[in-house]
Amino acid sequence: MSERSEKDWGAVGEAAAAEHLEAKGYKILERNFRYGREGELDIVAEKDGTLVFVEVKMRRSDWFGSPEDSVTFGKRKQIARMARAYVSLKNRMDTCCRFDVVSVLWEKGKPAVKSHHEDAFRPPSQKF
Amino acid sequence: MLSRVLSSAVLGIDAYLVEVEADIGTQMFSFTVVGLPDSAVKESRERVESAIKNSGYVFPNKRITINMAPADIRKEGSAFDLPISIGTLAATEQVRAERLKELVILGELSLEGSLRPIRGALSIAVMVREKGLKGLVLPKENAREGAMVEGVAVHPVETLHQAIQFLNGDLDIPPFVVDKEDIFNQAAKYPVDFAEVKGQAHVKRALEVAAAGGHNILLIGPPGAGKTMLAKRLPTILPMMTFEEAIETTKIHSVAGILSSGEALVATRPFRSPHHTISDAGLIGGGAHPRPGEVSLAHNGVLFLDELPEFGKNVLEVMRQPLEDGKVTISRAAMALTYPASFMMAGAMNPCPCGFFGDQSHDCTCTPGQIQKYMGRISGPLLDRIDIHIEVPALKYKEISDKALGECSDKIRERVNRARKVQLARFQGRKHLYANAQMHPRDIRKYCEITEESESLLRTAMAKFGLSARAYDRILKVSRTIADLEGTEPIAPSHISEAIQYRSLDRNLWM
Repeated sequence: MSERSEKDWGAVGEAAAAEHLEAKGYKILERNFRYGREGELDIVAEKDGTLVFVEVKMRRSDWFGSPEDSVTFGKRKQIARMARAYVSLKNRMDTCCRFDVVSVLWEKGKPAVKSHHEDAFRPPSQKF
Repeated sequence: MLSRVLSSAVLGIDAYLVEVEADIGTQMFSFTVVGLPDSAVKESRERVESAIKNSGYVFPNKRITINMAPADIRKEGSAFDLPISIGTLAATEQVRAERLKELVILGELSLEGSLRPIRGALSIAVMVREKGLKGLVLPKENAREGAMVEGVAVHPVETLHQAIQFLNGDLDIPPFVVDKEDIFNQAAKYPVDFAEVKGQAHVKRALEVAAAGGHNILLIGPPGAGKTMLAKRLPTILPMMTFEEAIETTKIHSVAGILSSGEALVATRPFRSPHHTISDAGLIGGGAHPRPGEVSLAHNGVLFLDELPEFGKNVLEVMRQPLEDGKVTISRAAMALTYPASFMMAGAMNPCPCGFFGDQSHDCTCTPGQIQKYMGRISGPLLDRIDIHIEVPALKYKEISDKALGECSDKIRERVNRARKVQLARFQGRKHLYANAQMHPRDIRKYCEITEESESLLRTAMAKFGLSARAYDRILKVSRTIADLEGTEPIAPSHISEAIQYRSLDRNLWM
């Protein structure tokens, strides 16, 4: 297990989260969306006319607190920035958006989706 | 979806209409307030979101824009929480729009959705009536105050949920009704009375004369003599407030935020006693967020300046306009605000720096130079405004321990009222002149003719005491009041000599 790198762990988590979402009826639009150097959107999905930007948090143990708590203010700003860029790029300005957090824990040798927080946060306001 | 909610804000002591528009778009969530909101209004966002969610309604996950028109006037305070919430809910059709056209809505929200009181409810109710709108939705603590205005339906609410149910027609909140006359009578009771003051007959007489003619008065005496106690009771012998005066004073106090919760009316003449370290803005009003100053809070009442020599020199400068015009104009880059400020001024001071000059039981430890310097601090323009100076001696034990009560305020006020009636008749038809103290030199020539006998008495006194021309006019004004108190038209020598008594500082006793 410890031969896997951090990137691999992330990928494992994302795969599990994507599977979970699809089972719930979400259509996956993007995985690891990048644009410029701003960062990355783990999963962009859609359901019932709402765009959902999903941040996936993968942990080997929840010793350091629940995965959702690690979505800091800074991270939220970054996700929001990326989301705005996505929406603008894909010409989906008029679509409702939502920000979810899916946390995945490694237990018994397998990734397990521990929680899916819908509307986990609102995008922090832009300062202009 | 767009919604429009009527609300209000106060400029000076009058309210104006504010339209709160809410526009909900389909884009990504954002919450923006425009229309020059100040920090408190910008913070609305947090309170509005929590209040809506905790009241069981949906806070839309969409782009929300709130505009507060007129957009070029700065919006202040937390009273816009409720209209912003209602606007947001109306734009998402959780609140019906029909009643929003006729009602003005205000209130601060707590995070759980309950409503907190606002300022200026009375001024706002007056505006609602002037605009011909139907009514007000207000936090329940402000209902009594708002209901004092005839013809405006005031619907008190305790929570956001209640307000929504009311606007949707699911809950009936009948207009809050008050017995105006009863409130007025209840509110017109003073907590203090002249009967509580022992002895000091001369000072009481001087205060009676001051009240009768609207003369500003200066009390001079050692510490503990009772200057403050006496001054506090001056409002109780002024004529009772009229309903209009009470409404005007209540507006000012409400805007300043000093009405107590549930208080509807200020019907006793205010007594304001600012500390001598007060700033200019505190005294005449203004500041970063313009508020009425002490001179306006004393409108229709008494402004008491205790320890007069300790007040800064610039106090005289800033007090000039209110003393002259009965109002205060504060200029800002964007606008000029005017607050009413018509009051009687009472001052108090020690006779010397140590306080015991002329006292029978304590020695004065001041040098003549110290006393000169001390007295010099209140020379000039301010003294010019004070018609009556009276010495307040320390009481002897016999007087302090005397169980008998003094004359009560009601009786003294009866005499004051009679004298005031005479003045009203005398000055009928004149603008800005309704008491002897307001007479200008021309009026003094006209209304204060004195006999030969009185003239010669005055001439002698002026020579003997070294009185100035300034003192001459004041003595005539005060004698006019003393004669009015006695109910006589001609001014007799006895009136003149009493008036001369009230010029202690001019008589250079301290030289």
